[in-house]
Amino acid sequence: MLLAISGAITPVADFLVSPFLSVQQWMTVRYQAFQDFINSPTDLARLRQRNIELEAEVANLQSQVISLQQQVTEVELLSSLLDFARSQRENEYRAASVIFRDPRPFLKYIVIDVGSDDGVLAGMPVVSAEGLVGRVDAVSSNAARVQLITDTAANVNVIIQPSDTTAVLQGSITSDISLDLITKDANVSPGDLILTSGLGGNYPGNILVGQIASVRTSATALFQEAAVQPAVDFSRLDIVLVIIDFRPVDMEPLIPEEGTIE
Amino acid sequence: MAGIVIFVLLIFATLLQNSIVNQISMLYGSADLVLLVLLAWILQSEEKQYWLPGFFAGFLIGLSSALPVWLPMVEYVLVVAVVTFLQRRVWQVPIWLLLTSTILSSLLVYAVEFIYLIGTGVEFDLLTAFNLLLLPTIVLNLIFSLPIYGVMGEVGKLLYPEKVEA
Repeated sequence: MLLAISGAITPVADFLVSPFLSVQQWMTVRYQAFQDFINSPTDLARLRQRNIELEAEVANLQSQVISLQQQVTEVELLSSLLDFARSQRENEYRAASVIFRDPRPFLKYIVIDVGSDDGVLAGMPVVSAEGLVGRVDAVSSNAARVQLITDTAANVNVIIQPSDTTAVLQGSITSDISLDLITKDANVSPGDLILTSGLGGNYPGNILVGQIASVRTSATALFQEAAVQPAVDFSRLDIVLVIIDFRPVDMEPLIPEEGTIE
Repeated sequence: MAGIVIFVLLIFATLLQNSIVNQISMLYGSADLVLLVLLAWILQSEEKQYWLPGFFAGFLIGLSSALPVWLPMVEYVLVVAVVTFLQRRVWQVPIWLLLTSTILSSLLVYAVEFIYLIGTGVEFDLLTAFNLLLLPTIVLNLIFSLPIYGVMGEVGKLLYPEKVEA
């Protein structure tokens, strides 16, 4: 007892116990290896089953992630449209989803899922959060066809800021849009903003259309021309807003028939 | 029964065309799936009346497009006429006939539509349209025509099994 308390017995105990511990460890390791070997078939089957379950769970979670990402994108888009509508309180809007695009590549039209039942009429302007998209070309009860401003037959009267110069925006067969009828003395340069002017009565004024990308001036031409970078990405149009309280002005009665003016 | 299948296939092709195929573009051109299904049907079908499917294909495109409905109907009937003529009198090698028909049909459809656009006062550069729109469209149509021809061949085997057995 006194020896144990004083610590003199510890080296002796270590000397005696050490081989025993080594043998014990050797036996335990070998037994565990043997046990693993015996149990491995059932473990393998269990692990395979577990792996299948986890893979199914991962697939399920991945589909949930994709679904949530789509919802986030949609919410962001709707939020930006809401911001746009709030910033333009003078107009009344109707949101619409793009159903499909014109099957002919040179015709720039989209079909949206609102129609005359929703108060949409031909001629109403269509915008997105970024800017002007086009105008309603034809309407059925629950769908409408929209002519984009990139269509080759589209013409929009615009004003260039900050020079306050008026011009006509034209689409093309390749979806590029350009400005024509810019007077030669007008001081326009790349980066200038292009807004609808409201002239002609087809579109309300002050809707963003895009920016001037480059200006072409020829000594022999009567007007300057400019290439335009549109504000809207027309390849990613999913949801748009129809301005349903805008009525285009019918200019037909003001246009004189042939032979009436001498 | 077999004659009705082409109408179902054309409706399905129109849905695919409007939702997916017209998004697959090369430069500014895109394939015309409805036209290709019609061509493959004409070249492999046992039916001899192709006019009605031609009218129907044009009608479907006319409904989906901003073009007047009658214009695609005229185009696709012209396509039927040209391909039937080629099939009966010129070549007997199916793949060669398919490729030739695809090129000629694409040219015909776009020629009619360009003439219509010019007639309605739309201004565009014909050379640009040819280089950036028509040529890529023909290339895409050629690429798509082979698998569609294969699929329509399988449909034909299902509809006319007696010919395969013979």
